[in-house]
Amino acid sequence: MKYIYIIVIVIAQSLVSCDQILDVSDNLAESGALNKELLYSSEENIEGVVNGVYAKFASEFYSGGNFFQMTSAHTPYFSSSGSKGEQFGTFNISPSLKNLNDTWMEIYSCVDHANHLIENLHKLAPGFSTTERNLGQAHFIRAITYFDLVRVWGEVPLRTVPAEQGTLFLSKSSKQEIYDQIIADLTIAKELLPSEEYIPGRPLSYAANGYLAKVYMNMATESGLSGSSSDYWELAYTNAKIVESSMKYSLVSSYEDLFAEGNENTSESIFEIQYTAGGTSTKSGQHSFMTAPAKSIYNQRDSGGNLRVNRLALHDHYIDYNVATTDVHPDPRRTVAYVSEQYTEIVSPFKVRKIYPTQFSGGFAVNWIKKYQEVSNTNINSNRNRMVFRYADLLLMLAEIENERDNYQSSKDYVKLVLDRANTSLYGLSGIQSMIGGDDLRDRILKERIYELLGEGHEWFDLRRQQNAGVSFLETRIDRRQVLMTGGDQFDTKNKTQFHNIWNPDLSFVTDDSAILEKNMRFPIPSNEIIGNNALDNSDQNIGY
Amino acid sequence: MKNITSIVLVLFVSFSAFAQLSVHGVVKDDNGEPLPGATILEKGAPNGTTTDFDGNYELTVRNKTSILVVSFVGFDTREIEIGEQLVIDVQMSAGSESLEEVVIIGYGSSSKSDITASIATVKPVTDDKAGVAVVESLLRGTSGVNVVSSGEPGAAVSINIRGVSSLTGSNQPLYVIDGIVMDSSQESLTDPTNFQGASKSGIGGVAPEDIESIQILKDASATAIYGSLGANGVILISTKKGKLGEPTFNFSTSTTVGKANLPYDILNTEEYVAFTNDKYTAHPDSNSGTEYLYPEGRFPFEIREDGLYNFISRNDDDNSGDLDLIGIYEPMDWTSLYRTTYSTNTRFTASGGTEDTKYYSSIGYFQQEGVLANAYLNKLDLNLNVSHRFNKKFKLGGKVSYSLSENSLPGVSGSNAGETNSVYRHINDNFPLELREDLAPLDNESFRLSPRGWVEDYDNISTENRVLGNISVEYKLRKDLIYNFRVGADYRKAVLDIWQGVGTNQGLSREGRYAKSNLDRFSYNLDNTITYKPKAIGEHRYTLLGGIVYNSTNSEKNYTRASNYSLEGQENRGRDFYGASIIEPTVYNYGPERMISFLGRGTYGYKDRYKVSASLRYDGSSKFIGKNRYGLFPAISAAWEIHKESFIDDEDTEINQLKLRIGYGETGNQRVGNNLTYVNYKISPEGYAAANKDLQIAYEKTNIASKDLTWETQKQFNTGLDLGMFSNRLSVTIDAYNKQSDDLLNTLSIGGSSGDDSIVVNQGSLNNQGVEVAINGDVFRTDTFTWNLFGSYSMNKIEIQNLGLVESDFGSAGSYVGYYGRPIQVANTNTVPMNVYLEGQAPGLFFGYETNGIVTADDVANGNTQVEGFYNIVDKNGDGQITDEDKTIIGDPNPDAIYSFGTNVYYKKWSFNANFYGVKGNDVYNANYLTENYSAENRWNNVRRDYVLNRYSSDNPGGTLPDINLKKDALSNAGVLDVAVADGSYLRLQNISLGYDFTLRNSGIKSVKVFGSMSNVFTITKYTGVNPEIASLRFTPGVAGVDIASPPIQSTVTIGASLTF
Repeated sequence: MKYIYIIVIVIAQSLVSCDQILDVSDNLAESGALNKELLYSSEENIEGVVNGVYAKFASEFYSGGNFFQMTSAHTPYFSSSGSKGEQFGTFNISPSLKNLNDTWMEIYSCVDHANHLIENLHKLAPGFSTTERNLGQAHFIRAITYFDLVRVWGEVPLRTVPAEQGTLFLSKSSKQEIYDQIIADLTIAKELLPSEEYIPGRPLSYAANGYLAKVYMNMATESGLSGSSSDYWELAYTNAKIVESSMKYSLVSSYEDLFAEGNENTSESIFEIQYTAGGTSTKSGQHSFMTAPAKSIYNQRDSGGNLRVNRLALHDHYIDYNVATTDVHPDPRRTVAYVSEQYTEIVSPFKVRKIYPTQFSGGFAVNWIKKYQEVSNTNINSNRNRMVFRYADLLLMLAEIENERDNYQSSKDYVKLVLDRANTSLYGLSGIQSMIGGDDLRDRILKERIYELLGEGHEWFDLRRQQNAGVSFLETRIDRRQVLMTGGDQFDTKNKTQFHNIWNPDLSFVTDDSAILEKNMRFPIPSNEIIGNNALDNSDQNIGY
Repeated sequence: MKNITSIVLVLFVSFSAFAQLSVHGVVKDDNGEPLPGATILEKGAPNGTTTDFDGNYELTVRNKTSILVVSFVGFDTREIEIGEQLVIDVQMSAGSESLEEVVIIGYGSSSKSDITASIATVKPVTDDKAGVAVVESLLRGTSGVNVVSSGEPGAAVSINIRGVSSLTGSNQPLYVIDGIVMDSSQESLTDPTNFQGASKSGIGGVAPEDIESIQILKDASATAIYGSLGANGVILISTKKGKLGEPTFNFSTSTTVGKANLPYDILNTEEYVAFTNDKYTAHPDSNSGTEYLYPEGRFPFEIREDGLYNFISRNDDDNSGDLDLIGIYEPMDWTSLYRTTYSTNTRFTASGGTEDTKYYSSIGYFQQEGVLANAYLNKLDLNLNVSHRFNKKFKLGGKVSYSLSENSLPGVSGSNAGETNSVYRHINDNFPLELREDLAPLDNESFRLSPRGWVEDYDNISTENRVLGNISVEYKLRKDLIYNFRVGADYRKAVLDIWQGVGTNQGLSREGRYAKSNLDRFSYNLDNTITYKPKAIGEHRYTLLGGIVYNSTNSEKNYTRASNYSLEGQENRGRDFYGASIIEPTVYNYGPERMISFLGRGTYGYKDRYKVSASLRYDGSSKFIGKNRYGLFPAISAAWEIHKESFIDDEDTEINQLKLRIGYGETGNQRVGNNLTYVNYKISPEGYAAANKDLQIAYEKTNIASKDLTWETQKQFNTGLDLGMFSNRLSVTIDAYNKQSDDLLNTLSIGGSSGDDSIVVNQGSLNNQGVEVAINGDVFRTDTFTWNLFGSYSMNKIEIQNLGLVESDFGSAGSYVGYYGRPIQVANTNTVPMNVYLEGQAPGLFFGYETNGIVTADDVANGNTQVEGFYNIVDKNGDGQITDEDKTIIGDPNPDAIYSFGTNVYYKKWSFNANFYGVKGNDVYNANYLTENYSAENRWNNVRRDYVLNRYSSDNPGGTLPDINLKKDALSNAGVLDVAVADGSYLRLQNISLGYDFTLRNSGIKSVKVFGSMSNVFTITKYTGVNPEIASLRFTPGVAGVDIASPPIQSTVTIGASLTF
């Protein structure tokens, strides 16, 4: 019977605290699995979680690629081929577009990562010396992410705490609630972010002020918000002035240097996304890849260059400075911004690719953006940072704010600061000084924003934000481009009236129909969100989609 | 009736008793062939023996009045008085006692007559299996079992028992091999390239030839003993054990030749060039004007004097005054990439045993080729089963099985298997011309890709080492009390190398992309059981089983990706990361799983004809937390053997078996990912850069915590009838069941605003009801000729219930509680869900637009606002616009019935058999159909020949397929159309084989068998896709019945021989 005892012992052993056996989290920690207890246990690990929020913000599907390409292409300044841009470039977006859905998911994933960071820093790591600045960064990123959401999609679900099984579905919040949240977050960020450099390339408290100014400018031109337009312009002014008077930022003396490879996180940079080509093979900054021509010294890859600037920007860039021929131009920003005229391919048979305005062929009379050129990087990922907010932008914001506050000379002075950096002769050529102020100056400041900031991701927002006499700049600029396309382009010596359904699409249908124009003021909510989110239905889709 | 228990006892226990007479002889079957392993007992005495491999036996008995009881599984037991004979040859006849076989059930065994639940048994004959690569295929044809295979070497085979019982959790049954709890079949390596590679077979390590029997536990009253693992049915596999007798060796080898079945035609080069030149010179796109047209007299493909083609751009980008040359091409039939396959299967086994020690060992090498040059499976396996009896109380058994396999699966088939992302689509889609870069460099990189890249510059090779083993101890505490202890272990170490060279879509933009994925998984189970089997008390007989079972799994998966390779690195196909300029941080995933269970079972029999069995299992699982962690799974079943009643059991009746079974049981399904109850993080592959360009580590979340997660529960009611007639020449089994699955594990697509696009929750219920019939009959049975017919028919009806969601409108189908399935890439840019899951409906209905022919010029003139030449989408709500509101239900992927039938013919030494398999009443969404029957601006894809004949044009207004030069996004925007839904019913002659069996006397060779067989001989179907057996996305939740990028099946011819000596 001794075996009976053995059996009893074996059974008893199995019975010992079986719940303990079933708790595998200890096993997980031993094997090195990443759970939040481990990640919030040291400042070093928390730094990795903070990086995770930036990684989402910077990813291919958000700021590093899709979102940048889609918003840029969805303006009359750019055209795009490929699944990330073609429907946007032709103003014909399907809510079921895969890349639209990916972008939406990534943006909300960024929000979710920030929400988790905020919650867990409070719960698990309140005592660390870096907690305050980490909270500041989390609130900052969440704010500017919602700022993108509310501008591009309008009313959206507003989520500020991590989702749980019971709170998976949220209906849309009003624009007022979303803006209130953005302001609350930026206000916290302004308080918690350091005012001196702590990690190179990370936002200072003034970046939060700068964004507050941007947010208020946007609110000033929105309808249906609680405050008055003039109050918002005042608030925008106050915050923008805080940034200006901080003396933390200044214009880099040469525009060319500002975009020189390797010259990054300059004195002009207010918020800059950091990229490295060694990052990844899949998900990171693709702005270099998508904006520069393939097989060229600007982009050595076999493909790319899907996002291109069409003739609207460059053509008017000549006209607006009273330059009538293509071979002289006093603005050095032209050669920094564009791959123009021609280039020779770097692989056999070394074809010469000729581009507008010198010569063009087929329907491809469009340029590339040169700001992100990389003469030696062969990786798909960019080694170049993306400045999403820089001091020249702030100065032009101040110019716009002062114009709205009827301080026209002050406004013009801000514009002059920006133009003088490029070339001191420009301000005189531009004729700005003789403008009355108000509508004409507003129109010109928006154009100056294009010339200064082209390809930096501002066009979509600027064109939809402002209007003159009830006509949005989107409509004005599309109409202008249509005129150039149908014979008004003095530099076009060849296929004058040739629309090309990718590179020079006929967008007359957009401005011919006010409903279509209104539709194109926003992106559609991706159909997967409407399908998957039980709190939304088809009636929540944006107008026109 | 015979006392089964005593036979069982004698099989395992030998008593040495003093005896006075020795008898011997040969036991033969009705064909005169010796029967090895038959049992000879002396009636009423505790002695007995079994025959050796020549059927010889020798037994000492008490005296001349003794009676020999000779029995063998599948044969009538005979009783023979000894009298004066000392040499007694016994002729056994097959049949009426075939029900007395021993059936393996969970944690034990039972005689078939004691079985009260629905259990199907498959006992493959060795030679039938030659050429059968995977174990799962043996199950095809069993009633209630739906087997779906893509036919690619090594690809996982999907098995659903009695419909689908889970919407997300695995629907695959639990496999238990000799008591070792196995991986579910789709558990495999992570494919880090974000393609879903084909799933791989999880039980691929077991060779079909080594299998003694397979029991399929379909009914919850049988599976409840497996508790939270048993909801999808349990497949118990017993491998062969050694038998008493001198060593026997078997050597078998077979060779299979196969060829891809290509069911439809695409244009050849000449036709394609004519078609395309016509398209680009005469059919302007409706919106973009004439810019796509080539100038007068010029064509995209211009034939050269040397017979090659110049592929001309319509642009003059370099302004040279002449159209640019894209490249020089030669005619190419891409389907020529499909090869004739040669596969071999060679196996050697040795087995034997003494009274105390028995052994079975085997070694096999299996080599199988797929239809593409880089599709193959090579597998070596070694097996040893040994048992030793130390004394009459103590028996020890052991098993070890090792396999090494190398499997290359180039076919990519996943939810984003776009035209250039899958070789099988690419072969049909690519224009039938191949670049001659030696003659002129390629001008436009977008034409770089060709299907050849998938064959020559792509790897998806997994190498797996797997060891299965167990040790079992059986100790007889008392005569009626047995303690069993078993350790079963399954160790897998696998590596997946993926290389996407510049010849593939994914590799092109990254100068080669490589990924290495590792799986290191060890799982074991400790089973402690005690069985109490007392002697019958009068007419009452009962047994009790109690046990504690512990399961533990530790797995580590990790993967590393790299890209941007130097030329040397590209030549090295990415291995060892040599030459990679980007190597991502390794991503780890750990999966500890623990389960502790307490189980018990009692059986009771009265008068040997009324039988009841009840079981209970209490499970605790590490996958769940709090109150959701533990579950209780009860079952009860009963059987009435009516044929033993006096009103039937007389000499006149032809009925020799009539058994009514009824049972109820509850089971669970916990087959979801690990660690889902809390938030997990991983190292983000992108990281975030520091200002100095160093890549810093970044962590990213992987899920939303599903804190309330618990297992699915399933309640199943089953009733069945077993009928045997004419000395069991005819047997019929009928079962009906009602299976209710609640708290379904469901991966819910939640849009994204919650921070993730999906979450695993318990949600909804499913009900399956069905009837299964299996019939087996010997139409003729004589000594030299047997003609056997068999068949099965299974009907299943499935319905979703209680999803617990908000009711909403599903287009014009109406208002439902339901959700959409997983989005699938329909065209190059759009992903949309194709399936919907609606309460009150079958799961996975196809959802999209109805169409009504093609929009003609007349239609447009009459006010139809849709694009002329594209499908005329039915405006269901009549609002004059085509919107999501017009979508409706356009098909049902669930089969109404699966059936099989076949015949076995034995004539002297000849054997012939044929197996048919069919599926009826299901729809298939052919995701390849639209792109193969569609042509758009600036698309250079090849099309089906049907397209050219039946496309709409002003000359052919009755055409049924879209016009030639439509806007590209017409298809993208339309999404899911009913024209791509087809009836997926089919009937296939799965296999026919012919064998000849002979003995070479005095050669030392006991038997030789030669055989030839054919598989996938023909298929009758209306389906126009590659293969109506839809294996694509079979393991992807939220997708059902979608045929995307399926490989063509092979038809094969096998010849082989088997030698026993």
